Amino acid sequence: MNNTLLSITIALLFGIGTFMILRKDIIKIVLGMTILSHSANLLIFSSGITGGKTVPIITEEIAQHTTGIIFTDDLVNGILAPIVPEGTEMLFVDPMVQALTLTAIVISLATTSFLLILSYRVYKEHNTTDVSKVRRLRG
Amino acid sequence: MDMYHNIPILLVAVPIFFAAITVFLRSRFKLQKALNTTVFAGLFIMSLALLLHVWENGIVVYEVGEWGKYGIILVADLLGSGMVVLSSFISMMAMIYGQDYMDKETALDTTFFPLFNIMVAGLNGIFLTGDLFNLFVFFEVLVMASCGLIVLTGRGDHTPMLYKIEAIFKYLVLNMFSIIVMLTAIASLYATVGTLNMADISVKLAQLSAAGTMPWHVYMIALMFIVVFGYKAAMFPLHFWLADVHPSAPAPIHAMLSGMVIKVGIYGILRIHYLIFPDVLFLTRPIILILSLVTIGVGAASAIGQYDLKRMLAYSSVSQIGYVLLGVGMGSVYTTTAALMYLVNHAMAKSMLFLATGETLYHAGTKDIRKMGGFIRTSPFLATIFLMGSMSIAGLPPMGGFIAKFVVFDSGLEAGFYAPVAIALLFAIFTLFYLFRTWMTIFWGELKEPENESDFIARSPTPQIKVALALLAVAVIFFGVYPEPLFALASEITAQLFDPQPYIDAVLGGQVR
Amino acid sequence: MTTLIAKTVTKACVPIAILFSISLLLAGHNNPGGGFIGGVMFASAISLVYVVFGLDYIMSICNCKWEKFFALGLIISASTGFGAILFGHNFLRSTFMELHIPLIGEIELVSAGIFDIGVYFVVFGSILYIFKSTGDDE
Repeated sequence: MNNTLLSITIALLFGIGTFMILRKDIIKIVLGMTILSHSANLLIFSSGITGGKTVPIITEEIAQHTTGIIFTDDLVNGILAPIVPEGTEMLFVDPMVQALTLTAIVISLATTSFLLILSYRVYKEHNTTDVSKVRRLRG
Repeated sequence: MDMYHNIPILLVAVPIFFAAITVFLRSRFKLQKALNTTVFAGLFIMSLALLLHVWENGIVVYEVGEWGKYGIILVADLLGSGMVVLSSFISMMAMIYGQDYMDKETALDTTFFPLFNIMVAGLNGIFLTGDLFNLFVFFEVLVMASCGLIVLTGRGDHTPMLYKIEAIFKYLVLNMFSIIVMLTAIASLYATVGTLNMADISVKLAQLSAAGTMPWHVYMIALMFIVVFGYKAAMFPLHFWLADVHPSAPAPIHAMLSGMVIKVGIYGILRIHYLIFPDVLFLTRPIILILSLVTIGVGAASAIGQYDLKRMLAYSSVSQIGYVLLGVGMGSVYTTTAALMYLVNHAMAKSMLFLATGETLYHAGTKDIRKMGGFIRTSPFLATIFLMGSMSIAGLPPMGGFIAKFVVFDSGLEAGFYAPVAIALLFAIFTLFYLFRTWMTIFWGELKEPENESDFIARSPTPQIKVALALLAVAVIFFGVYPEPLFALASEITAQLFDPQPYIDAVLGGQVR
Repeated sequence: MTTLIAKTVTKACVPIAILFSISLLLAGHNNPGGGFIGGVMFASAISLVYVVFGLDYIMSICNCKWEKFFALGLIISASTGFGAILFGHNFLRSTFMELHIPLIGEIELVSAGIFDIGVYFVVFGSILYIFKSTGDDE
């Protein structure tokens, strides 16, 4: 939150990715897809940096001396687990977003490698990387 | 009790486990055949038991790893478990059919069995999960597995590898884009309410809505989900990929893709928009209604001009999915019931038709309709099955499709949507025309190339394929002559959709954490 | 063509990298690390060998079928989940036990660790299978 630079970065990456997937070159499309998926990952990541202090590993020492909020819903004060209003002190960052981002990265790794192999095959079969020439399926 | 408690996770984990086992058994074809048939029959029986259990005792909630509402949960309500029964039935038939249909060296001995198992795990996971991010993961599992399956070849599959690669490239790029849209929507929703559990999101958005502080971007998120699921279901502006991708797949996979995988989009719309965004329905229903009418029209008009049999049927799928969306878009209780009935009947009839098409193309040795003719003399069995499928899709009694179409039109008239029903009825006549023209060209008339008659007879279905087709045909007729259980189930599902409180209570259990 | 320097450095580095990947795998429950990161590290070590010594050289030593490791990992991970069901808990429920071994001291055995080992196999199996099949395709 309140991280203007991060928001601008995400917006720029979305723009670059969208521009790239509208090109005619297959490799540029694959690169654009990668950039788009990484900007989506950054978007997930940005929802988690809500002013926490440390990594969310709760040792006994920390558990005994809690001062801030760990992760609880407090609907009366308008707190919905990791999303807290301004001025509330959090002890940890939200651990969920890292798990989500890691999963999304793994999935985009798999799809990207698949896409790269496919584009290599398309190049081998058609001898071109121009998408507008790869249209045997019209009809 | 304890036995039923574990069924939701077994439906997801068992196919994944056996996908790994089948990698080790690659060269043992007989064993693979027996093992996979057993596993898929077991999955079907388990899903049926789950549906009966849910019908009698209410929603089953399974907490994976016992983490409560913060972990991954699987929820088997009537909609989810009903869809699982449908998908297990169709996948069992496709598996029995595929064992004889697919090439032995290039498909059955390599990746067919593992990928098919993973695909079924992805489908079951989508229908059973109660967690939004998990839904995304299972979408991706389903897509990657189906991409791998499209490449494989079968005996009636006359698509060159060149075309398949191109089709998969299209499918994967578009799918990755829709997945990114979905990920963005999920991230925005998580940043708004701070949870991924669908029931929990529903509760919190209802609280925000009641307090009058609903942020405006929730509407945008709901529309983004329409784009994602509309892409999956091949709704009008996003339908163009289907006619390229589905015909490139071999017949069993084509049946799965057209029978079940595009229904995932409908399931997503029903689940997400009725559970999470009931306040946005006033905006999404008219969009779905208008786009569904365009989908029906575009699909039917494109199908008429096709001479490639598989491509024509793929456009027919686009048109038929429009009828399901029409029922969803009209939005009353009765129309949604009708949409669910249409969904079930279309899934059965379409997968039967595609399985029969695969055999017909093998029988004919070509995929051009104009080069076929008179096959009723060489293969009366295929002619019967194909006729039954066409009758069901076109909506003639006594097939299941008649009841489904009748219910959709009746409910539309009752809800006062006269113009949409009139348009849909017009294109239903189109459907009748193009399906029966195709059937008559292929099976009636003079036998083309009669001197090769023994060739045609040699290329006829094996007993195993006949069993799969006949079982599907029995199901199609059964739902045509005795639709009451389906109707009762669909009404109950719709009642649960329109009142999600039991779902929320079952998931959150009244606990305040 | 790879130089002598690259070959020598690879010979020195690869065992260390593999050991480090295993240590990351075992550290994964309570400290940073885990099956995924360990598997990626192992895969990068092996792929360094592939890059420096060439595919044919490796194939002449052993023709590894990496997809089998993928399947093995999937079986291990899934069995961990089914094991929890056998003990009457929910799928993938984690548990731990503490062992006292003389001279080493207390060690904690976590059932999530077995799941992590499965993930390790899946990750390096899939990554190396992708590398090998793309390199093979000529």
